[in-house]
Amino acid sequence: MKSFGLRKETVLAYSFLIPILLFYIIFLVIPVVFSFVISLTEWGGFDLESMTFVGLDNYKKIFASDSTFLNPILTNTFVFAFGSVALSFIAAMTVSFLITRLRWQGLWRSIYFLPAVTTIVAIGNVWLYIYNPTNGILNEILTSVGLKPVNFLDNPSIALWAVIAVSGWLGIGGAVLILTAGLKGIPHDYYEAASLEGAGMWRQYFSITLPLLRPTILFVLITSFIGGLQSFTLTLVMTRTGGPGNSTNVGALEMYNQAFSFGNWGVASAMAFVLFVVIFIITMIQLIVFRKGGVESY
Amino acid sequence: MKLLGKLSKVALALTLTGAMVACSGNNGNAPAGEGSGNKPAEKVELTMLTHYVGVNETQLKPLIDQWNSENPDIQIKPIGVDFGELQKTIMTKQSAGQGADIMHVYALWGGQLSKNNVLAEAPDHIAEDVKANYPEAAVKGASLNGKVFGYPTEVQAYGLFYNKRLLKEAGFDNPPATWDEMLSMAKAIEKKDSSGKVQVQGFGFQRGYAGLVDQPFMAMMAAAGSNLLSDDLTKSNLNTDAGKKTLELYSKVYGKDGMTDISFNATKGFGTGQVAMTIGAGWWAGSLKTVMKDSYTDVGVAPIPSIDGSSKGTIAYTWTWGVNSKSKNQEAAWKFLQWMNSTVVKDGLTPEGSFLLEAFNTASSRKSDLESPKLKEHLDSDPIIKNFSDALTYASEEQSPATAAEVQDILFKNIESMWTSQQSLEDTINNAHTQIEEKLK
Repeated sequence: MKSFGLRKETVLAYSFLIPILLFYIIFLVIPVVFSFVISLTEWGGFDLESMTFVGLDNYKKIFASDSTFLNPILTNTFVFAFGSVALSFIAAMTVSFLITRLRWQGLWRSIYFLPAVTTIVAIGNVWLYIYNPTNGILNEILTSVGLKPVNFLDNPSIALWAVIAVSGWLGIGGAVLILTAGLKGIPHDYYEAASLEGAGMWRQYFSITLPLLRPTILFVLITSFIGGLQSFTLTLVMTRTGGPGNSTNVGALEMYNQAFSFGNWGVASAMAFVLFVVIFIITMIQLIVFRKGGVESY
Repeated sequence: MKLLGKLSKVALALTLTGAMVACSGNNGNAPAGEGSGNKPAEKVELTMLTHYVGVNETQLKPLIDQWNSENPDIQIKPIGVDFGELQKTIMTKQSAGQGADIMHVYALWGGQLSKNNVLAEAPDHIAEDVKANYPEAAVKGASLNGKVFGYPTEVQAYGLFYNKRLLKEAGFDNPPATWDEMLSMAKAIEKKDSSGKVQVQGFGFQRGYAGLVDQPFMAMMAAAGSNLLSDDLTKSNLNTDAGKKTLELYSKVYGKDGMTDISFNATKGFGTGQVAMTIGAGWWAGSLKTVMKDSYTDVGVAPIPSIDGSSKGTIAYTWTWGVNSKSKNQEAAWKFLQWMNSTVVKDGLTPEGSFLLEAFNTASSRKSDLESPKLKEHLDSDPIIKNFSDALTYASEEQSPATAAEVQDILFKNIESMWTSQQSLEDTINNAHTQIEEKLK
């Protein structure tokens, strides 16, 4: 009876899993496999019958010495991801810590989460106005205190950092939401015991809060990095073509242009797979580092 | 009961599975005529994909309705998408087997479309009609590998837009005829405040995306005596005298040695009466009329200055009506396009001529349209539209090799790098030339 019951339960379990498995197969596995196949072909994007197998030629092209993919595009992608994650993480840690010590925590969380639920296109356009060198708010402030106006998005040395600042600001809300949930999950008993032992606020933060918040921090960092490395919309809206002169061009934007503007679907797919490998490696490194630090749940 | 409950759960799971499979199937409408299982129908519906949305779509509709009412057997269904999405829409629909029967395509995509056999070659009588009735730049713009693929529609040349009031205030009665005049006038007109912010820009190039930077560049280079690429589209001419001089001119406008601030938006600034001179295409006059309202009377247009004033040159880009090579109703599609582009219906104009005039204040390049009393009257009363119409007689076509989009991207990024002081003029010439030649191989 028991073994028969198990079989029935197993069948039932798989029956309920089939829809989601089918969903993943149709919308994830098949496109990924097809994308890999495209990366080994030359295809203009118009007619599937016109695909020509070229082996690893596309990968050779993007790693060639005259290719812009490794530098500056992939370099920009790393700088963008690390920069925006660092900015949003440090700010979110501070904000979430402060929120848990304030009244009306829900209101504060909502305020900080607002940018996360606003369309990136709108945000990008608003920041374009803020950064406007002729009559933007930032330059009005700078000129009112006697400083020269700054070409935030036209100066290749600072354009990428200008976009990173916006991306970092955008990422604060989502991270605050998750970190405050993680902070609430830390039992108060530990803080009470530490207070009785004479530990101050900072000692408690570094000895209790941070270690117990590690799983949450790991989740935030991994998801933020993945999002940062895949960033596309903000750069497209704020700089359109990744300019000036590729200084803000990132991997996802370059892939989009290769496929939809230039008709180089093979090259675009090859770039996508290289980016996938990069994201995979970075995620694995994060997992290893955190596991060594005692986070076993991942 | 327990068994029934379990069976219900399994049934629900299977239903959900079935729904997922059904939803992932093709739910798009097949284009008219496609689908080998359909019986030949007496009435066909042709889809017509364009970048005419909003007001333009409304202006096109009466013409389509007229055809549809007069030709119940061939119904046209227009589909408008934003210009920025049109190429991607053509691409994705074609690969999904749902391509439109008739497409309005930009000549720059011609190389890609030709390489992927998207467009059908025009029948002989259409090709002969085009060759006989349109200027050379328009015919070349509507041709791929020397074969006409459709009817040229918007054929837009580039010219010098100038603000008569700003020139007059600085003591200039006429627009410049040479590059040196243009630069010296610009310097005289330019005004900045105490913090260095530009208040009035003497001359500015429009910026934003590749076409907006590259097309004026190619027009200036044509005025200097050369196209960007060789006639066989295999070599770059950037290392020629014309190419080098044009890039040198560009380095004098923005950048380390530039006379004005790159961050000042020349497009918006011209519309607000703060830019004295810029290079633009004919269609922009229509936009400026809307934006500037009464101040539009300050706008003048002149041929693009040449190096020494002795020659004329510009480029013209072309949009073309073409038929999908995979359409099952090509004959019907060509019949419609022939009516749209060669039949005189009202005021001596073809439907296309009428649409271009109403929607864009632009003259059709077709000879019969140009000879119509309505267009003649318009040309006589509007010097701006006349200027652009005349420019078509000496304009070169915008060249479109298979890698045209990449070539323009390379040129654009190199010019932007020079303007933002990332590389010198010499490096820009060498890099752009080398990279473009590499793409043309």
